[in-house]
Amino acid sequence: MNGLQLTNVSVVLGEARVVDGVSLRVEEGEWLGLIGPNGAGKTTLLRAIAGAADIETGEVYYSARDLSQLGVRQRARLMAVVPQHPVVPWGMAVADYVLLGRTAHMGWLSRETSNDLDVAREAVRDLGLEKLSGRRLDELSGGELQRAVLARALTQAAPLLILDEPTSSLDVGHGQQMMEMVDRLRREQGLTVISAIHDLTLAAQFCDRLVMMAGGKAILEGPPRAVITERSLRDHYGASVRVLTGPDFGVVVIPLRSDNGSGDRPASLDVETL
Amino acid sequence: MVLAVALGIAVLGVALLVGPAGLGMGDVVAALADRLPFLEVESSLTERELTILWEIRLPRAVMGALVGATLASAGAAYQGVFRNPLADPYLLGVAAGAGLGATVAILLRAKGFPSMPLAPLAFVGAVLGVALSYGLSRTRGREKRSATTLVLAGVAVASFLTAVQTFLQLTNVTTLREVYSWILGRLVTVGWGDLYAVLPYMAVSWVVLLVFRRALDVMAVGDDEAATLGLSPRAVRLIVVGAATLGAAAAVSASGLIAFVGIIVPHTVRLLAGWSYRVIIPLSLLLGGAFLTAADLVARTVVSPAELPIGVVTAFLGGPFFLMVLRTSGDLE
Repeated sequence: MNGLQLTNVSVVLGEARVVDGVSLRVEEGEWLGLIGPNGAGKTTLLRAIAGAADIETGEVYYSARDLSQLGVRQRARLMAVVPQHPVVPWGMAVADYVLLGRTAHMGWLSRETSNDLDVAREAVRDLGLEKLSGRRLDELSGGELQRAVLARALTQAAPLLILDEPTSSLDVGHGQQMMEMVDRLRREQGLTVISAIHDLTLAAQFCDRLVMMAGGKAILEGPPRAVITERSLRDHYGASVRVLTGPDFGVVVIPLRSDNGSGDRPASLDVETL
Repeated sequence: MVLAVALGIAVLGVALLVGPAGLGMGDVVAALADRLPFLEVESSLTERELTILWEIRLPRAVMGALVGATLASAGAAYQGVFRNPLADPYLLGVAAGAGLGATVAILLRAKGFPSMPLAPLAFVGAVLGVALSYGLSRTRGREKRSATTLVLAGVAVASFLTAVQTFLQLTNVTTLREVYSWILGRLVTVGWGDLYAVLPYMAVSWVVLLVFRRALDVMAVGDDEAATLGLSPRAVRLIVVGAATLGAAAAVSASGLIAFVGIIVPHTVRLLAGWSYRVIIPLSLLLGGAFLTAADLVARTVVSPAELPIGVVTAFLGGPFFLMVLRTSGDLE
């Protein structure tokens, strides 16, 4: 059994069952997107996979290995996490930050080997951070910081990449670049990716498959077109949207104003006929 | 690093030269060189002057350096694991706890346990101090917690432990003098024996902190991210706090309560050499040693022939410094 396999995973925080019996599978080399309204349990599920939240019941396996049996070091060699709100340490330079990704590959007493430095350098190059590698993290823009965090994750050389809302603080251009970068890296390096994604249109464009969560449960699963529908978004997001699909642009989600009086209903309804 | 070593040696040298008995620089150097293996150097110092050099000035200067190195590196380590720029052995209740432990040890000695060792009880007290401070600060909700929460908890714990200590002290008047002179700082009476008694604990503390200096850098990204990078934050915190507290307790049991060294030195190092604990820990060791030897020099010369308690000198410098760190601590988190 390869890839990531969750069986009936539940997480309880305080009194609340935040993740409730979720089972899902991510094949090796696949990109699975988790979507769902705020508070659906996406982030908590990712934290549970990463070992940061305690699993009440259920199992998480990666490549036939029970993750609950692994220590933090072994886990960090299997999976790298890009958090939604990374902590930005004061004064630290980008190059040093990226090198932190080698922690799980180093002994207590050893320093970084030339191999560690090479891996980090490659990640810096892959993400186009060469010119910024001497800059302080606290002086970077949101998009640059996100790239630095992704470079650190790549430096872990782990086959599974966990992304929590990688585009939430980015504008449309940078968000798109981020997704393109993840897509390229996972193809080049054969990474398996699971990510929570806020932007449904981006999720549909880049993910192979989507799982929609609501109330802690996984309620829909399948290719983007099957999961992102006007009905599912109305039922679970309480959203009034128009969902357009087309052969050359995937799925586009257009929010509709409830008040029609403005006369600005999207004219692009015609797109359906394209 | 080279500069810091040179500074340390220079301060140590000045500390050996300055004092009521005027010893010439050439003679002191010659006397020191004579002690080195394979070197025979004539020094014109008399027996009495040699005794002053070897039994009074040198142990005092070396102890100052050891205590300073230990307190400064412990302060840097606390700042790293608690991710709190205001953490310091004194402000976390570590010193007060060690003081209470040492007082109990002194009392037990007077009450029929003459061989009661000071350092282990000081360590127990110090652990109690830091555990109470950290535990209390964690009772406040995560959103409301800030750098100052831990320090406020530490101040409360320190006051409480000091009150207990004062109570014990005053209800046991026979030992009052010994405890009191100890509290004010004992570098005055330090001999080689005192030095050998605490050196092992300090050395363990230094080695552990040096080994964990990269782990402290990883801790800078927070517990959750440190764990995903392959480091157990709880294990690191336990080991580093244990080592720093062991060193601080040994320092306090040797020299009494000396405040602010753990704040002044690491922050100066940060200003000079940046954020990384790989540099901060070794430089804090070196500069802490130099700083406290220099502070002791000031303490014994500024109102000569009388002496100021060394804690007064460090607090005099540390108070304003602490305010400065407090003002800028927003940037440090």
